[in-house]
Amino acid sequence: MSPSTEDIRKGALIRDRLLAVAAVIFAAAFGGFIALPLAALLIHVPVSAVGSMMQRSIVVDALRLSFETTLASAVLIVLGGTPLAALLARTFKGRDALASLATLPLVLPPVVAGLGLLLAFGRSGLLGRFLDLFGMHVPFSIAAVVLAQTFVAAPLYVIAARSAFERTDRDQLDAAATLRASPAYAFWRITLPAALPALCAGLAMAAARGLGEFGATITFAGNLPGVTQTMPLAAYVAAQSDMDAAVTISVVLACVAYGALLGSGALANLGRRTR
Amino acid sequence: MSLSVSVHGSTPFAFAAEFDVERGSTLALVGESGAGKTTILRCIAGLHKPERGRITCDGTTWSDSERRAFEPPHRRSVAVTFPNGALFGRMTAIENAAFGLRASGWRAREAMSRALEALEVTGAAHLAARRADSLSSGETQRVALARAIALRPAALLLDEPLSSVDVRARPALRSALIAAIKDSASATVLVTHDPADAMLLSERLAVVEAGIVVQRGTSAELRRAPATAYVAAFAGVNLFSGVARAESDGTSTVRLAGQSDEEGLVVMGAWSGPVAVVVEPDAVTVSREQTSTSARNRFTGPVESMIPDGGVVRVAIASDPPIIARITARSATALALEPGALVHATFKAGEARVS
Repeated sequence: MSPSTEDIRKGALIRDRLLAVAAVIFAAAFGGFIALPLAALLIHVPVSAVGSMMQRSIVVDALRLSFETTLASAVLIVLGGTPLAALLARTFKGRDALASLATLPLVLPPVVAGLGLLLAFGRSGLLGRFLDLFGMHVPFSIAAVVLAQTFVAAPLYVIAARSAFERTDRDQLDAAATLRASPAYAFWRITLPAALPALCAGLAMAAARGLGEFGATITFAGNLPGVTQTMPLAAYVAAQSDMDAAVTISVVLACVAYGALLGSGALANLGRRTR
Repeated sequence: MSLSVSVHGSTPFAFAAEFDVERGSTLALVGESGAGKTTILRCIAGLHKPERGRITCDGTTWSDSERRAFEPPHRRSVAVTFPNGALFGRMTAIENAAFGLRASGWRAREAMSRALEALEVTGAAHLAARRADSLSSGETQRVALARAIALRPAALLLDEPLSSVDVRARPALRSALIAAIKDSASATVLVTHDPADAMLLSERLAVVEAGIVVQRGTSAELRRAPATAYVAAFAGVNLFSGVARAESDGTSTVRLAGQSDEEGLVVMGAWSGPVAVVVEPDAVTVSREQTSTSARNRFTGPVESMIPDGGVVRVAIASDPPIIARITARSATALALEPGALVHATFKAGEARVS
């Protein structure tokens, strides 16, 4: 005997309900998994000692250094990443190969990135041997920190900028071209202003990634307090001996990163609205 | 001093066009949407590269497939208006109008004053400080038009400038177009699918069907000897220009040139000012006797010509102004129509499309 339509309908109802319940349970479990370590950090913040903690030299030095290097790498990322993204938004032979290359640092183990930088800019490295002639030594300096952050974080900006440039209204570019605007002028007057919110969003993401940079920095720039010891490195060192300091630094890092993500999301929304 | 176009290509579909446009005159590139008018226009602008052919303007070669010459759009003395305006939304109207001048290196002050002149020509000077993305479609087209003529281009290309505009705003925008075309003194190419716009804004027409220019000429020439059924239908539309006056009963009276205050066509809706009235020949009825004396949309005159078109006949009547009716061959026989016969042609107010 074949099941009645009523039975079939009931079966589908139960199946759909089970699916929905399962989805909610898995989502909640996964959300908890993400939130738990962050909650653990917050719980362990030495509330009464935060004031004195923020005056310790390991914390203060790391904060200042991270702030300066992230700012410097952000400038480098904008100056180099913007034209690169504009190039990648055009169609040409080998574009996909170049785009993948520009994205590679994002998925590369940071230690590999650090080694590569060391072999390029080290005393006997590809470029380093020439820099050495001029008395410039990049590795284990503040410049190395900036280069490591730039190398690892730039792809996030380039990806965001490229996608924003590709979304530029074709009609507006056509109109600009017929109004005597060379491609460069049209980029400056039309493409760039339209993409600005998306560029800022991408930059916020890249800066957050640069701020958290660890592997490439420790490989290429070392871990010298006050010189190359950024906040993630300081947190790692402090975790061996001074848990309160480690937690304080970690929470500051997490808060700044969370703020950058919120800001980035808001900017991205703004970009979509005003387009 | 003229624009000379001869282009052939196969992408995005097969197209072929050959025509010349003198400076100070306008050619309408007409056809159904999707016929390839815009592709031909984009070839002239340099936004599309024709596979074969030659485009010259005022003695300068813009593209020549044989000599492998191709000037990019920004090096051509051309200006284009797009169907949706394609204004730069973040800029004000005057910044839009000044864009081309600034791009060509004009200083800000001179560019702004020239842009304001252009906005005055198109009746958009009062919008100068408004952000472009806050403008209505009619205002957008006026600013787009000003942006184009501010450059004083050798070739002015207008792509469906009236299609996105509300029917109510059309007559005024059409006047702005006429003023802009006159002011620019360019070789103007107008792309449109609307017979009224084509006939009111241009001296000559080139009809495009399936990518190919099938016939060129004045609307009178096309009406006299149409090469295809589409040309016959397009050029055969009855078009009357006049000045409308709204009546109290929801209709309007359109007084045509040379008519007295008591005369004039009756149309539906409240209109005022200069308008165009379009009447399809299918909507015109023909009779031998003066049937209804109350009908004001009545034209009396001798039959000038009768062109059979399948089971129907296009009857051209030499009334003042002339009118064309499209009636079945059977009715023509029943009425014993023949050239020279005196007939009365009428149409209902509801059949007249004002634009």
